[in-house]
This record gives sequence, C-alpha cells and structure tokens, in this order.
Amino acid sequence: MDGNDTRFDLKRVSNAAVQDGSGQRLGEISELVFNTEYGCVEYVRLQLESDTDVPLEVVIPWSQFRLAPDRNHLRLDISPMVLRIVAHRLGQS
Amino acid sequence: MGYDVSVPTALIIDDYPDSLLELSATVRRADFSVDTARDLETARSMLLKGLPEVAIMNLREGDGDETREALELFARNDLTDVMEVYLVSGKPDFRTALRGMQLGASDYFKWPADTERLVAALVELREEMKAAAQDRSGVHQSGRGLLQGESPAMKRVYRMIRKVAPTGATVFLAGESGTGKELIARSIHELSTRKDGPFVAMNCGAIASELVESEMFGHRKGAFTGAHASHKGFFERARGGTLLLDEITEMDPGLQVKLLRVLEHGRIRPVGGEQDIQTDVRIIAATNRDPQKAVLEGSLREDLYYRLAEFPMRVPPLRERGSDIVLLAEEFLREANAQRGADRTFSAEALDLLRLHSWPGNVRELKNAVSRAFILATDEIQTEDLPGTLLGDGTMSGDYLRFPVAYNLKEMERRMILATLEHFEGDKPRTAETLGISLKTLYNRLAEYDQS
Repeated sequence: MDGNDTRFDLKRVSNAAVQDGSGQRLGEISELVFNTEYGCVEYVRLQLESDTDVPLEVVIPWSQFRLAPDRNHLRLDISPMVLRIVAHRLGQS
Repeated sequence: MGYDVSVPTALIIDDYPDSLLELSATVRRADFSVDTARDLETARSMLLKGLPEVAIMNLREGDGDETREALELFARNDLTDVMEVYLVSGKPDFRTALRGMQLGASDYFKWPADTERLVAALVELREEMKAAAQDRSGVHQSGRGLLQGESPAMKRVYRMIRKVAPTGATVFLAGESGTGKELIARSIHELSTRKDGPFVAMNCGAIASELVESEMFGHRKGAFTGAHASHKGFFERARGGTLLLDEITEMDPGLQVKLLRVLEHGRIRPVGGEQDIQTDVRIIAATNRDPQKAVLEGSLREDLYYRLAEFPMRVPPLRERGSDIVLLAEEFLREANAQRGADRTFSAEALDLLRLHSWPGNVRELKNAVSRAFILATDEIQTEDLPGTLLGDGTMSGDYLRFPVAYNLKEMERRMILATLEHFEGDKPRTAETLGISLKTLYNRLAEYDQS
C-alpha cells in the first residue's frame, strides 16, 4: 500500500483476500516480508487462485495494494494473466 | 476528501457544537471546504477515506489522555508528513502545545484570539498548494522542487524539503542508488535563499584518495609537484550556494576529521595555503548505505554523522512509491517520444509488469528499462520489449523477516518489534519511530514480552 499503510498495521492484512478492480478474486496473501531497517512490510507473497494442485505464487511490492473501500479485502489492479505469467516464471527459476 | 487544489479540505475535530460551528465558519473564510468530526473515532474513519489538506483539532482542558491519543493518531500514521495539523485551544497549555509540536503539529492557535492568524495560515497553505499545481517542468515552491511523483511517500519528501529548504540546516540524505538523492539536494538548493548561488556536487567515492583534499579545499600554486596553478576546491566553488557531498561514507577517514573541523569552524585552508578562508556553503550529504550501519562499521565517523545530520531524510525506494512507477514510466516515455518524434504507448500488460517489479536500481533502472523498450518496440510497448529481469523477479535484497499469514498475529508483532529493536541496537526511540508506534506502546510491548 502507499505510504501510511505500509506501516505497522497487521490486522488489515491477515486473512484478507485480494481482488482486482472488477471484483475478481486474484488469490490470497501467503507471506508478509518485513523490512527491519525501515520498520514496514515491503513485499507480500500472493498465492494465486489456481485450478491445479500446483501453487502459483508471485512476490509483489506492498505499495501496489490498496485497501478496498469496504475494508474487507485488498485490491490489486494487475491483470490475472500477467500475474500468472510472472508466477510461472518464478516457479521455473 | 482528497488533494484538490481548487477546493482544499479541512477536517475539524471538536466535540463542542458551538465552537465547531464557529471554527467551521472561520475555516470557510479561507476558502476551504469543511469536514467535521465530533470524536476521535469519527476522525479516524474519515482519515481512512481520504486525506484532507489540514486537520484542525480543538483541544479541551482536562482531556489530556484524549488529546494525547489524538496527537498520536496523527504521528503514528505519519499523517503530519502529508498534511498540516493545527491545534486550537481556548485555554492554551504550554505542555500540550509542546507535545503537539513534537508530534508534528504545524501550529498552535489561541481561540478565539488567534482567529485572524488561523485564517492567514490557511490562506498561506492554500497558496502553497496552488504553487504545487503549477507547471510540472518548473521548480515547485511547494517542496516538490524538481521531483516527480504523487505517492504519499513522495509527498512526505516534498513536505520535508519545503520545511528544511529555507532553514540552512545541514541535510543528510540516505537512500538506495537511483532514488534521486541529487535531485532532492538540487530541489532543496532551488527552494533555499541560496538559490542564486552555485549548486556543486562532489562524489566523495569517485576522486582518488590522494586528490580528495586538494579537490575539496583547493590548493595553492606550488603546493605539490604538478600544482602549476592555484586551484579552487569544491568549498570555494560552492561559495554562496550549496555543496552536495555524495557518497560521504566513501570519504577517507582522515579527511572526515578535516571535514568535521571545517564544519565546526567554518574555515578551510587550501593545500599549500598559509591563511584560512571563511566558508559560505550549505552542506548536504548523501549516502546509499544505512548511515547507522556505516557508523558501526567505521566507514563514517559518528561525530561527523551527527554534525551532518541536523536534518536526516530517508529517500524512499521506488518499490515503496506505488502509483509513481507508472507515472514515471509514462513521463520517461513521453520524453523519448518528444526526442524522437514518435508516439509509442505502453500496453496494459507492460504497465502491469512494471508495477510488479521490485526495482533494485530504482528510478534509474526504470528509466533504462523504458529507453530499452522504446527502442525495441515498433508501436505499442509489449511485455517482451521490457528487460527479462522484470519477468519472474523474485529477488529481494535487504534485512527481511518473513511471516506466513497463518502465523499468530501477536507473535508476528513480537518478532517484528524485537527484530527492529535489534537492528537499531536497542535504540528504543528510533525503533518506535521506525515502526510508527509511540514510545509508550513500545515500552508496554517490551514489558509484556519480559513477563511472558
């Protein structure tokens, strides 16, 4: 999330689903990556919705997320296709 | 609410209907739209929806805890970095005012005696915001200077620039390579009273150690073999202006001692010279390393660091700047199009990929990636035109703790606090500030951990 929200506010993140701008569920956060020098969550690992047993994951800078107006989920305006491409590449590397 | 220059918004927090009405009327005189909150919970929820340009809080006598809580709400969330906070009180209390200022409040007004001063402060704020909306190519008086970006992280930087530029204080910039430290230094210079003087940048790591002293302080003819003429050093060349000492942690330790002496006495002596010269420069120092670590490792003298860091500033890496990645990419592409008479655009997928990358090389890396894509693309820039490192970039450099989200929340918080405290070698105020929590909360948590 931008600026203020990158700070120390874990309740917003735990158990939060991630949706894109159209409300499509993209997945859920599986890991938080905390920077001790800056005292903030800097990345998150997003586990993508998948039809297969193989987990698809992608690491994303926290600043790209928004808290949805209903405050019940996080919003990420990146297309599922691009997320999948990157996740596949990550899985291969 | 939001950043709208034409009609800025003020959030008034006041639990008394009468004074709330009077304050609202006063604020409207300065052409601000007004949102009101009767209690802190409402204020908190309104701040989550969007940031007003200014929050005005009417303090009550005898409600010390709530006042403190309110002030900490602003400080904890760094709101004072991105908006103004004005305190108003019918019965001014010095300690509350002082505490408010320490937590980042911009001003304190006696009510109703200071009504006109409050209106004047709001009008001045509105004018500053108008300046921020001027032509992007110019030097913005709002503190934006020569920089670009609209993210909260950058708005905090603009605010700090605006505050420090006119003071003459020595500034210490710490930020990763490619984050724009020199642009920030230039912006501080352009917005200072020294703007008509020179801006001189010296890369302390790029000059051979045997030449650094001569380059910095100058030399006189015949000072050493090959000194055929007198030479003005960086300090003399920057006379009346600003001197940026970049990569300060790369400076030879012996020269750091001399620099400290210069800063303390305000005089230099050129190599081979017999007389001291009075200096007249503002110093800005910069490093791409963690300054605290550099001090611990001995590459930066502690006394010099504290002398240079009258006003320390952290420059945010690009990955913390959210929407700025796309904004900057579009700007770099616009420049390339203008230079080459082209009309390239980004595909939506290419922009998505830019946003997913961690940008270890920061703005410089982004600029290079756009330049490369511009050359490779024929019309619309596609993902395959971008550097391969952007696809499948999972590398993270830095001191990180990782938590699966199934982790117990309390335990996660405990580990974050203890790891940050360890990082800052037990420095509790710095730990609390970095985590964005109050010192009191930090002490409470540490006491809990001691008992368990």
